[in-house]
Amino acid sequence: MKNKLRELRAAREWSQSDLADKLGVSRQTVNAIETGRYDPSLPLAFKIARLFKMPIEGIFEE
Amino acid sequence: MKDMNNRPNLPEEIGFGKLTLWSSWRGSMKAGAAWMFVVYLSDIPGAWLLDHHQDWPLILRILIALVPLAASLLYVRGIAQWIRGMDELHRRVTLAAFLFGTTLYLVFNTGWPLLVRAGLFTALNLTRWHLDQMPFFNCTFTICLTYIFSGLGYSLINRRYQ
Repeated sequence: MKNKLRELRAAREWSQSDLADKLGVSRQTVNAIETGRYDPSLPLAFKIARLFKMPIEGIFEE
Repeated sequence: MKDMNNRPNLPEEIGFGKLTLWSSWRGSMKAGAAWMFVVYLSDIPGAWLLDHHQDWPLILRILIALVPLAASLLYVRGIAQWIRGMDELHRRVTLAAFLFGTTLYLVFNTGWPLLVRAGLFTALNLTRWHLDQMPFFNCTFTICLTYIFSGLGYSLINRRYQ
């Protein structure tokens, strides 16, 4: 699954650690999601969407 | 059981995924290591007491025999609580690692006596190191081997997400 997490994070000048702290996950998890190696659960996807104030489908796509 | 700063627990805190022999004391204690030390401290002395005091009352002997097992179960409970404090990716990887470790231990536990019975260790002259007498009944041995196998599993499974 592709996603725009890296672009969204870079636009806000957040590091992976910053984003990880905001989401309550580890930096490795943020990196794995950004590189497409791990698809987040629905609750985490909702959390990401809320953080960036976007719909889930605006961040994640097949 | 998360940190006060709400950071998720990490497998690296108990040495998983690292080649260091000694991991952080605090991290290990969070994961129930105190009970692991109770197992270590009660297992071998308990076996010695049972061997050398066969005249003791049965109920006392049963209690001595079950202390390491009870501590082992409490250690597993501590590990389970610690895993609950992880984020979803690490929880998934760690659970898979423990499943890998437990399965490998069961295979080892079942296969080793079969190899002993087949005469492999006698043929290779390895009985002088007592490799035909692995202490599978020993809680300390079981915990250590499962922990090593789980660490190996973690290293293998976690590579996919790095």
